[in-house]
Amino acid sequence: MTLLSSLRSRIFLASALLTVLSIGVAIYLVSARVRSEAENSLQREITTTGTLVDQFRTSRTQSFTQMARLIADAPKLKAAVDTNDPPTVQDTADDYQAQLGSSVLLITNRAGVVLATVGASTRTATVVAAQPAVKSAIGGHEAVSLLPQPDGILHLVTVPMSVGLAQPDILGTLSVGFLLDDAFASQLKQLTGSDIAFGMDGQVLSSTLPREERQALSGLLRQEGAVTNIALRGEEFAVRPMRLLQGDALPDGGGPVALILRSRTEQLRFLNEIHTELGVTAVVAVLLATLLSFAVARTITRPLAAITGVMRDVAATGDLTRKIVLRSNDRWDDEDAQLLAATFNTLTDSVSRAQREMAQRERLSSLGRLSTVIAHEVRNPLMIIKAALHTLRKPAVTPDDVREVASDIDGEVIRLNRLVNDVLDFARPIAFELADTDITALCRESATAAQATPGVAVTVELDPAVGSIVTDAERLRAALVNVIVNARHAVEGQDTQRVTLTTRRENDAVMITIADTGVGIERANLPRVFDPYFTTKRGGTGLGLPLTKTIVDGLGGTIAAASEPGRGTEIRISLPLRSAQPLADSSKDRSLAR
Amino acid sequence: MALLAGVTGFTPAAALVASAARNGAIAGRVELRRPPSAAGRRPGVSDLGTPAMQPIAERQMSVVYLESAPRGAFEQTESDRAVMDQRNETFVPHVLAVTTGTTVDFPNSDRIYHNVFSLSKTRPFDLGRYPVGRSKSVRLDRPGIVRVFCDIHSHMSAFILVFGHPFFSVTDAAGRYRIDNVPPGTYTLVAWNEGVTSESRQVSVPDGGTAEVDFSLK
Repeated sequence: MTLLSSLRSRIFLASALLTVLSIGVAIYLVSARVRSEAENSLQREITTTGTLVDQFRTSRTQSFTQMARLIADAPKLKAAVDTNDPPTVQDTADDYQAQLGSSVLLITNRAGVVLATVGASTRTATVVAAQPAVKSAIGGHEAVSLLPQPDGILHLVTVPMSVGLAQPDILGTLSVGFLLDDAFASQLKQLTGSDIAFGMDGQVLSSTLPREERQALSGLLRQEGAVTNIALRGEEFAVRPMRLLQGDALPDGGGPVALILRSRTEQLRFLNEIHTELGVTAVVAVLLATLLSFAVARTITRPLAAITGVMRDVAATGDLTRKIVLRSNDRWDDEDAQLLAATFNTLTDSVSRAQREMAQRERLSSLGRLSTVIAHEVRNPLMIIKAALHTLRKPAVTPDDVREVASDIDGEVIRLNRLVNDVLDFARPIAFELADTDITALCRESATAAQATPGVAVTVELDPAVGSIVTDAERLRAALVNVIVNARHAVEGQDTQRVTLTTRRENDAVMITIADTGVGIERANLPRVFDPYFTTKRGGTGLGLPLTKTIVDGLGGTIAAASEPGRGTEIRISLPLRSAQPLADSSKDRSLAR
Repeated sequence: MALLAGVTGFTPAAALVASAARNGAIAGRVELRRPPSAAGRRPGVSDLGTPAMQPIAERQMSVVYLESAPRGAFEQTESDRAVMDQRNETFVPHVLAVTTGTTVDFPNSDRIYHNVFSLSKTRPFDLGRYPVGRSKSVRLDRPGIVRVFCDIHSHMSAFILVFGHPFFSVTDAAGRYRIDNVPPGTYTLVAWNEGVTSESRQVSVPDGGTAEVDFSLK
């Protein structure tokens, strides 16, 4: 999982996940709660609507009953009914109906024969007169009846018409009715906000919904009480049937029923808004969490990156003086990372200190070895000189002897002097004197100087593109002579004797190569050729190549050796075109340490 | 309203009445087996005013009459007067039986206005409102039933039965009746109570005697 391998990704993913999770849970809980609340309120509203419809109908029934009583008590109407003469009754009935505004007004005599009707067809009149309510009214009791009509349910109140007080004489009946039609349903809808439908015997007769929905609603008329769902016009409605007649109206559920419909879709529409808002909140929160977690992750990863960068530099250059610099005033950076940086700095400090101490020890041990070499190198000439002096003390000394002895002593003194010079050169700190130097000329001079002694000639192949560089000509010449002399020594006694000096321009550097076809260097010895006092030559001090390396290092260049035993050696010196200010002391320390 | 349709006709039996014979009488009892009105005392607008209890006895008043009158009955028609008083928001009597040509006075003996009217085919009239002490009258020239109401007091009503002959009688509180001065012969007799008529009964009135006929009205 490369995605999870970085700390930044982990922190980011964890916080983003946490945000999404918590918001998701919040949305779920809110949604569930709101949904159940909405469902409850839907149920409540339906119940309330049911109560309102009932109350509204009841109050209308009551007012109609009272009006019916009043009309039934009118002496004129009573007198008219008593005549049992339909035209007489009809005139009076027309008057009252106009004032009452009822849908239907119907008067029968005491035998139940219709005397007058207003607002109803003959057929309806017959049906109304056949209602049990009329019989009941003739018996002296008011009654309510509900009749299906093409455009609604006819809600009839039938009252007896009687005269007299103690034992009233029933003259006939008066029925007044209002229609539970579309207009009535609309009125209820305005009052309650719910859709209403009235139906009877499995047929919806009036409703606030379009006529084409009636068929779908009809099936609900025979269901009792429970709230059911129905889809109309793409909306989901909760429907509750409510029986308009209580008690034993009709056993098969075919009685008059009011359907109360409440759009669940409308009810839940605000839920969608809440969902949208929550969703937007979630997105914003996730974005914020992402930014925040990214920022938090950065407080750790930025110091880590700085630390890593410095560590890589140190590993590449070995420069232990490099320090991790964290902005100390950045209080957002992670404390642990800062601690890590500080610890790393302390670590490099102590490693560097240990290196210095080791160098010191190395120098001391070098001194010890030097002492041995010197003791040995000095003792030999001294012994020779002593022997020469012994010869001079002989009684019979010939002038030839003296000449020979003087030559011996002279040779040994030269050897001793050279030894002292070498040691001093190596031990003395080198002070470079930098100047523009023509490398080509310098190489020629070096080759010439190295050929002062008899031996193989040096082949010089110089690249004209190599111009001048800023360096210390004197030191560089010494270094080159040293290497060339070594090469000339190496080819002595070989079948092929060739020493080549080549210069080449390479990017930002000048490459000087001295190759020979000499004996070569043993593979085991190759890493040690630049170590001080390491030598395979009799009479060598082991300081030649180390000195050369000290010079090249001091000039900001590098030196490397490649060799194959029996075939030859190649020494490559690379010098930068623009020499950095050489750090004489430290570079020397370092080179000595290696 | 076929109730008195036969009053103006002559039956063959009645035509045979001998003028020399002594008149007899019909007597008997009308028993009301009709159950009291199922409707209880229902609240009406009149309840707001003085509760005036109509004597139940008046509701028991029935009228027994000859469906067909003997010849010469109409000759006895004369300008008579009868009174239907208005007291305590009640017409007194509740049932009044008169002969044609009778003028019925409706005096207002109450302390409030009344407005007597009738929509009956026999004699529609409306006397209008009039106060205490005043009296208005209606002459009834056609036989038939005139139900009288008060346009102010909806519970008030009364019956006036108008006959073309004098052979009728209003029962007393016990339901007894007696029709006197009936020429001997065979007649059809009918009892009436509150708009309900009994089946007609054949009765033979003996010379100078009394025929007993009892009715039972459902």
